[in-house]
Amino acid sequence: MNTKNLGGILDKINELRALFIFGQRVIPFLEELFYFVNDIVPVLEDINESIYESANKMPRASSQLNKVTQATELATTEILDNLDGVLSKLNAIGSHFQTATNDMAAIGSLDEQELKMLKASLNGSHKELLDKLAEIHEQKDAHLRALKSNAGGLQDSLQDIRNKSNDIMISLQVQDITTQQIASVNHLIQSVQDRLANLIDRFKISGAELVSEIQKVDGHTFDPQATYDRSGDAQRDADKVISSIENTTPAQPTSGMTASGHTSQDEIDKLFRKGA
Amino acid sequence: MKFLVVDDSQTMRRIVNNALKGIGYDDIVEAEDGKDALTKLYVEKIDFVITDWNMPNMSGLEFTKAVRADDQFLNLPILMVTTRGMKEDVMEALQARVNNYVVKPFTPQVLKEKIDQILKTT
Repeated sequence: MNTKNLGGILDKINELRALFIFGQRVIPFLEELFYFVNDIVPVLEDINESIYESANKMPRASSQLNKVTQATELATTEILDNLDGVLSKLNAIGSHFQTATNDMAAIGSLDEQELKMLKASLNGSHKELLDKLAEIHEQKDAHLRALKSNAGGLQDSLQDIRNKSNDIMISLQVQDITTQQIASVNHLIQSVQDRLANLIDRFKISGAELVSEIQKVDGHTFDPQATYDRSGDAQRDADKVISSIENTTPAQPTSGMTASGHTSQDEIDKLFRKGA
Repeated sequence: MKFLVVDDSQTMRRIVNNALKGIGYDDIVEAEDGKDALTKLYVEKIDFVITDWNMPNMSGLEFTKAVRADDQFLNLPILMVTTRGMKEDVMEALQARVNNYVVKPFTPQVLKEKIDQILKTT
């Protein structure tokens, strides 16, 4: 064995020593990694189970949202039925009041005729009686005028109630708008469930399969941007849009649009006038 | 004048009906979606259509396109009443050849105004 060979063996021994030192340093890390993996596996299983559970709860959430839509539709129909009843009664009351007002006017006119006939037949005699009758007639007339005035006020109140009832009907359009929004949320839930179903399929969670799926309505379109806005802001926005649309092509976004990006009725009218 | 009111929402059909009756139009036929409306269009003698956009089975837009595809309905007045108020939506409805466009929520006055405008021009 020469010096060269001895040097080679020493080198190898040094390499081995370095390997042992590396091993000594790495082993605690590997141990930690082992413990970490040991700890994380149940957590991952929990996550998988949660995904599975969440995915299975979604059809119920979706179904409950559908029930909300049905309940509001039912309630709105009941409100509309009641409003129809109220409006019909208001019309009847209005008609009765009109008849009563006409009757009062007729009574006043008959009283006047009666007094004239009496004056003519008494031919100047019984002045005291006639003066008293004229005074009574004047009092009756004052009552009739007061009744007429009250009737007029009541007709105004009836009209006010009619207008408010019509206003309620306009407000009930909110039902359709919320239906659109709920349909949009349902669609979102459906998309999330589809993604989760893919995840479950990819990771093959302990034989898990989705128990149920969200009931899909074929071909139902909805408007995710549907908003209920009667604030009058749309009109103010509209004025801006009208002036800006004249300088832009219809497809370009307009600076005067509402925050939701909606087009106002006036702007729509403008487009139609342009097309005409 | 016979109106065809197309909307999947019973509430909206009632509201449109009430508004139409309030402005003097009593002859009204209802349909729940575009398919139903298309069937009724060939059975009843309809003079004016008021349609929603978002409906199951056949949307108001598809319905309008189907109506316009038939020569006998080229001049049938169609008013779109919808929640969709984006400029692109209005343009799409125009391209499908609706006669006018109303955004919900609407007032009976707006509805009357649009009907009058359409009747003046058709």
